[in-house]
Amino acid sequence: MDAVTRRLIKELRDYQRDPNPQVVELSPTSDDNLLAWRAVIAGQEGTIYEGGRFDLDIVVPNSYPMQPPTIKFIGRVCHPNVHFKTGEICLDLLKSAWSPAWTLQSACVAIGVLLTSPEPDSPLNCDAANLLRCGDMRGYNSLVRMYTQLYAVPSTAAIMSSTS
Amino acid sequence: MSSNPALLPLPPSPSPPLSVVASTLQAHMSSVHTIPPATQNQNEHRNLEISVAWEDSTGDEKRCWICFVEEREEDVSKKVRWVRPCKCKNSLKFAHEDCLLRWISEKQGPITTDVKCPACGHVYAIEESTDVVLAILTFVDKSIQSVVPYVTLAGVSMAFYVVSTTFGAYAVMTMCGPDEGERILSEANWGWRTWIGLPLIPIGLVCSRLTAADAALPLLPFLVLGNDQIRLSLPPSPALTVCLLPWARLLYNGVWATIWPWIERIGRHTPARNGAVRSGGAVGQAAVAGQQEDEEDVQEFSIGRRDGQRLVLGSLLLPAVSSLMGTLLGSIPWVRNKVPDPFHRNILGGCLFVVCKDVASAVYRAHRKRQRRTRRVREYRGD
Repeated sequence: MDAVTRRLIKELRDYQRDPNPQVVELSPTSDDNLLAWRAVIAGQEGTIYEGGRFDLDIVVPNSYPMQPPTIKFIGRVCHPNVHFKTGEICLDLLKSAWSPAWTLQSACVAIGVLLTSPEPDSPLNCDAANLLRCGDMRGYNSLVRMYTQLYAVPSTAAIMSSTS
Repeated sequence: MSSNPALLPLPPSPSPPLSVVASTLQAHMSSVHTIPPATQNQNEHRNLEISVAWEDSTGDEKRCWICFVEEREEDVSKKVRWVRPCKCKNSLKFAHEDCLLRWISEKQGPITTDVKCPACGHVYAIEESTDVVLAILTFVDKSIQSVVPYVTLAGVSMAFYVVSTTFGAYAVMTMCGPDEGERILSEANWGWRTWIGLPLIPIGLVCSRLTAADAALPLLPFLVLGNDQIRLSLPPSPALTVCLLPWARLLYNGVWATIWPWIERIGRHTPARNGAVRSGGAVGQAAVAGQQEDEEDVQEFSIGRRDGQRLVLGSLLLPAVSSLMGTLLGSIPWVRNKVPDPFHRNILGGCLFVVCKDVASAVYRAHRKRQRRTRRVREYRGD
């Protein structure tokens, strides 16, 4: 068993034993490929992302944990640091600030924290970032709530897709 | 890249194990915006370490924070060295030496730099065998690495300088003709003023097309040529002409600016097809509408005309075009008698060309505008 597999199995076991409440799901997509993972994080209660379930696509490189995993959102997420179309996430821990002390789970938690503490000065979604930058909190909050309802709340998302 | 101050110091922290940090994240959430980075955080984590109960059984168990393998799982036959490289505690305390060395090389890249522990910031102390040859070569390597950008910049500027100077010399030869040109560029006259002046010729030519240079251009030739070269004479010497040209340019642009609105007005009234049919009350409105339309047209044209490539190319070709016009003028015997010096004929030719070009482009614009105004959509005459 190589080092990557061994560590990933440990991470999976750690998650199953003590899952973070915000990380609803975290598992490899199939049994024979441990390098592709799928995660679901829940929007924090009491925040504008409340009620949303956000799917994350995780690709683990062969050099893990020396190199960070590639994580992106699968569905649409309205957030200054998330690309609206591709789901790409701008977060330093997934690039230069990575260290082997992070795990897939803690990275997912960090992404959950990023949702509620955006950094509008390095935007991937300029429209959302501009609303924040000019202090239009009412506009920003309602925009995020709308997209969360449309794409990330399971019941409405199902209605939306069945009607269209 | 978002380096959120609230986010950064959370998981890889010196004290609590990751699972604990993760579960205490929610506690942070409420005050996430008020946590100042770094300094206060360390204290906070120290408190956490005391208050949070230790759920992991890893108390004394060594677990490598990089590959997560614990000591008891280790194959006894293999000799693995464990290290405690920094002041981190608990889950970040121990690592395999091999794992840590891999991480350090990953962080370092090709150049040897200090690597800090991602959590506590302690610089890893590394022992390695060194010798004089390696030290010297490393020093040389680093010096070359740091000098490369400057040398590149210097090379590019030198190339630009050489090209500009060559163009300047070419401009002098074409404008002054071979005899006078040889004299100006001869070794006897070649001084620091030539070194500065020649490369400034193409720059000055390009600047002459920009209104931003209006303030600088009239003074520049005086500064570069110096008092010795400039003598008041009639007909003016090449040096004096060069000094006078920017002033002539300002005057010429001023004349255009004055007569331009006047030309515009002609353009608007002559093709009266537009407003002719309209009756009394609507005329005022129509005129206003027409004016707005014109302003839009002008904008559209001025942006279209003034793109960078045309501007640079046009201004750099000016000496060649001037000399061509000068030669053409020289073929007329009357002009040849009145203006015997080829330099003056070239200057005259250049001025003539500029005037012709501006008149032609004004006519072109006016016609385009008139055409635009006569535009109608034809009715479809089929079924």
